[in-house]
Amino acid sequence: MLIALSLNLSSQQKNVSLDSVFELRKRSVKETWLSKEERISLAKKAITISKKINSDSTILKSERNLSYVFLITGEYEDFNKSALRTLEFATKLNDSSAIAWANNGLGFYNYQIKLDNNIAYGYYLQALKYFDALGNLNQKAVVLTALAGIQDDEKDYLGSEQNAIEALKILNNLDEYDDLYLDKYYALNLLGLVSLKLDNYNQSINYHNQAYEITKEINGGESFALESLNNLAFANRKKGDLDKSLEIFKELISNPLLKEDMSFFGLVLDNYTFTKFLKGNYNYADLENEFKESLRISDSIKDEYTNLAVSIDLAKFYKENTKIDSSLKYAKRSYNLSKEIPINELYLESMLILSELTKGLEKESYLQKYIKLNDSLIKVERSKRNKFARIKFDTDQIEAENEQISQENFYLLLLSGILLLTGILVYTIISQRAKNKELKLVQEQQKANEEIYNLMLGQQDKVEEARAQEKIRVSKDLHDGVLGRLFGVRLSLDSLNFSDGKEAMMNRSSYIGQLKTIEDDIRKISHEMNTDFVSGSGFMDIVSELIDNQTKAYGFTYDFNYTDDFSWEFVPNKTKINIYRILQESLQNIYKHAEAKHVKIDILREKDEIIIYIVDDGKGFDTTKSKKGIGLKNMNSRVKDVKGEILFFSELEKGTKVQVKIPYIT
Amino acid sequence: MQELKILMVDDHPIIIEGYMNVLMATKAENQNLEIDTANNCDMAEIMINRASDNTHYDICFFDISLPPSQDGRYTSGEDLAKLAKKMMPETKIIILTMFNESFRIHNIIREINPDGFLIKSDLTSMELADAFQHIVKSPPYYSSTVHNFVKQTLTSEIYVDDINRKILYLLSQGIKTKSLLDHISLSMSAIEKRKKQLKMLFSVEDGKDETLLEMAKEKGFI
Repeated sequence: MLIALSLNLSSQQKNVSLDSVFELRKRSVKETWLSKEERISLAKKAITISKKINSDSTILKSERNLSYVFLITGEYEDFNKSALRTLEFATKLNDSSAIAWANNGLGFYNYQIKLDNNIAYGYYLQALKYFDALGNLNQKAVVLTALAGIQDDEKDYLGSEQNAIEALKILNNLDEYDDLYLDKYYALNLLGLVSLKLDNYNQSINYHNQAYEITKEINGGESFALESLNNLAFANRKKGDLDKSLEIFKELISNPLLKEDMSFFGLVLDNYTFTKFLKGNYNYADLENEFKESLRISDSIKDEYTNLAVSIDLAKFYKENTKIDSSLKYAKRSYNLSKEIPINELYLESMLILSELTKGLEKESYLQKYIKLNDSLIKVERSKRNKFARIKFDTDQIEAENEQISQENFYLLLLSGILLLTGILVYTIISQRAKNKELKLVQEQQKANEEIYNLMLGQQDKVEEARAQEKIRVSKDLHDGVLGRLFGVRLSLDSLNFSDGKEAMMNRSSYIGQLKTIEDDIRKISHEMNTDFVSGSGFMDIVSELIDNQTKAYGFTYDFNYTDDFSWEFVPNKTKINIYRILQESLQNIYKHAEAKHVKIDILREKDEIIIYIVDDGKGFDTTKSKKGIGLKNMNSRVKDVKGEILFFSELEKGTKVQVKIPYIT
Repeated sequence: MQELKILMVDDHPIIIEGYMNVLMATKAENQNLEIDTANNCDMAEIMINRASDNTHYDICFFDISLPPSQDGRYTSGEDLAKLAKKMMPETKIIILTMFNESFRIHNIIREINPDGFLIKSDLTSMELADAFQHIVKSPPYYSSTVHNFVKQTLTSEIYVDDINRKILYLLSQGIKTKSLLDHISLSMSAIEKRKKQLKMLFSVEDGKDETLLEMAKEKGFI
């Protein structure tokens, strides 16, 4: 009772704790008005209580919650640590959902915060695997997009395109959810950028158009639309459709929203101006002003990227308009900037422009630098591409190996299982068979015992009856003979009382003499009773009886001799019953086939063997031919059963002699 | 003078001698005894037949167990007694036997209804002498064992027929049920049925033959 109560109490306490964990987690995420530190401490408290409850799944959930709180509060370093802990714990618990999300988070951290694309790529691949296994298609597509982004960064454009297309395919088949269009936009935009880099201009334009259309579905998607338009215009420019490009840029630049992001505005202005420059037929001063305006904007917000883009464009602009000094100034500026950031393409381009603007040794040094860098860049690119391919290949290979190993293990297990089962089965069968054999042996033994006991019992009955008869005879002897005569003597002696004298005395002595003879008679009867007239119910008596009965029934005479050298009571019943049956069988054979008149049977002892001869005076048979008769077969098998041997000697018209040798074992 | 012609049949000469000794020593003054003896059935038969043609015997003494006649027609004193009765109806029959079992006594009384019935083991020379005189004057005379038996069966409420008496007797002789067939001309099942009846009659509860015999003996049927 007390125990039940305390158990109940503890489970109640547990529930209370659990409720508070839920509450803490919820508050840490939802109560955005609280300070960062407060929210983190709520999440940490949830973990502490979870650990008290000691439920692994609750701890894991609280840990995930803490990671999430770190993420949304921008504590990226803490997030990293927490995510790593979560991943380890989730792996231990084999919680695939938690593993997937932790990998995803770590991918994000390494990609976006730590800028380590290699590590990020590894985590994202893991996340991809788990999301795929979980059937979380939406998240799978997001991760694929992230992977494509990394590949784009690392110039593995084909791989990037492939992953982005796969992501897009998945997204197109999904039902609508909160960020579906945003996810689609990212995929399409990336595809547009990658296609451009692969010089598939039309495809790029097509993707950007789609991306632009999608932005209309996104809440607050105007900024995305602007980005999309910029990219679209850029793609058109690359394609050479400068009119279309200008048209888009013109629309874009007149959009008031654009000025909210001055960095982007500067970039678009630069792009627009440069496109106009490319188109030709321009007003030099206007364009120069617009370039300078872009430069000024980028300078004012210290946007090196835009600054770089404008610088290199300006260098080209001045070069075209033969303002070598100005061109050189901006080329050098772009050269330095691109070297610092670094943006290798622009660095190369700057060097190329510089080499064209300079002469002699300087020009040569720029060219040489250019060639060297270009070569090394190509090598790096190639090796990077290879590396990504390899990461994926390695992962695939390890997975395949794992699969193979697990398959091999499975087969090994299966095989050993089958072997074990077979072993058990074989053992069972063998032991069962041995048991059966043993049982059969015991049964045979019992049967032999039973038979011999029956025979003995039959004999016993006869002996009993003979005894009873003998008893009756003795009683009759006593009754009629002895008693009668005693009575006579008694009566006569009694009558002598009626007379006396010499005659009576003589008579009396004669009766006393009579009494003496009666005494003798009684002694004789007593002696007869003392000696057991029936020698017993031994095995030889049974055999004698058998031979006597059989020969009487079959109508031939017999001689039966046996030795008393055997202690039949110690001979196994099996042997005895077999001897009995062999004799029975051979007498039957003699009756059936031999037409004999006389049979002689001897049971003798020779060292440790029982020797039996059965000799008849019948017509004999050909011992080489008649081995297949049932009677002979039976005799053979019986003899074999007691490890003996049987021999037949026969001559036509001269009779048959059967010799049986059986080991005498007591 | 009273002339009495007597036949004594017993297979033991010494017994006949004993009878003669007693009778001769104790006869009345006026009695003259003429005694013939026989040791077996054949001789006895000859004597009986001869006497029936001439002077009949006044008194015949018969033992029960006797060597049977050669032709097998007479196997015991009972048969001889019947013959004597038939040939010489007025002859007085005295049975002297060792058998004291109720069954035998019952049978002898039924079959022969002797004038004297003496059990040898009961008998003394005085009793024999008394019995002889008694029978000569006013038969019958039964010795004490026989007398008791008759008294018992007359008062007993149990009626046991001859075959059942025989079964009881044979069983009491140690003959097994299966061997009863050799002695009684009945089927095995009939014998079994009778045994069952007997057991009910003597209220044997444990169904054992031994108990049946005990009860029968107690009631004087064996």
